[in-house]
Amino acid sequence: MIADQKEMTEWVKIYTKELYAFTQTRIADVQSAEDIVQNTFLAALESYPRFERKSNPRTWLFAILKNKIADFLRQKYKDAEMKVSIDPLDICFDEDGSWRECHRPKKWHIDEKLLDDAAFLQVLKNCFSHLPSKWSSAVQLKYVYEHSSKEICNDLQITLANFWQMIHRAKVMLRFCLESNWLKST
Amino acid sequence: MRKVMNTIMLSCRQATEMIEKKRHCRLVGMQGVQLKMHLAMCKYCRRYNKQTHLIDRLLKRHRQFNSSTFDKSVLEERIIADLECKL
Repeated sequence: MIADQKEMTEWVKIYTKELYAFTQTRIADVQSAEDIVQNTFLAALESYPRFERKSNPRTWLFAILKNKIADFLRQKYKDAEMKVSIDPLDICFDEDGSWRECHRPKKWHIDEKLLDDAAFLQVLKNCFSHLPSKWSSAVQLKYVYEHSSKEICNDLQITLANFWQMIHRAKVMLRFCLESNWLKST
Repeated sequence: MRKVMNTIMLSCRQATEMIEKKRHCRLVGMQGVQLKMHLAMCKYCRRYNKQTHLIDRLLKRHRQFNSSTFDKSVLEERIIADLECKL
């Protein structure tokens, strides 16, 4: 038993950073990411007697981690599915598919310097946090972490068509939120 | 006449969807042409196109905000303590 503890503790020190970094590419929320890494080590502890000493502990830990991430994401979207009832596209577009007057994109005075403007980025972050979590994950994985659409569909267990619907809605909402909150403050 | 127009012309709603899709996969068949036509005629969708591209660039930068706050040692200590309870 003491050998286990020493070895596990070593593994925690060696692999935590890498496991966490990997988790963060899929799960934005810090608390959830930390919990998942922690649970990975706990699961490893439980399965330790079955761990084949000849194989690489890193590979083994990553296998456990990936399963935990997949489980987490699946559960999250099962919960989220219930909550999204209003389609932002119906809010922005009329029955003919034209922009509703109050949602028409306004002129932005875009300066490339805006990309680094801390206040602007803060507004973006806030708007992002208002997206339904299902969509914000899809957007994050696609635009922030640049995963392939196929990979994302696999991770989130959705079809490609669903994926594009989500991205479309998220971007429309994000743009509108950004415009409403940014322009009113300038 | 309207029905014919609708099959040839994209609505703004459809155009915004094509704009998002175009970023990552090729538009098929007439879609590319239809989008170009729509953008030539619709200033709101032209604005949308510009703005959504800016957001994409912003989101890429946003990545830097995510990773800087991780405190490795705190998480490690927590895990080690947790494991000790279980052993």
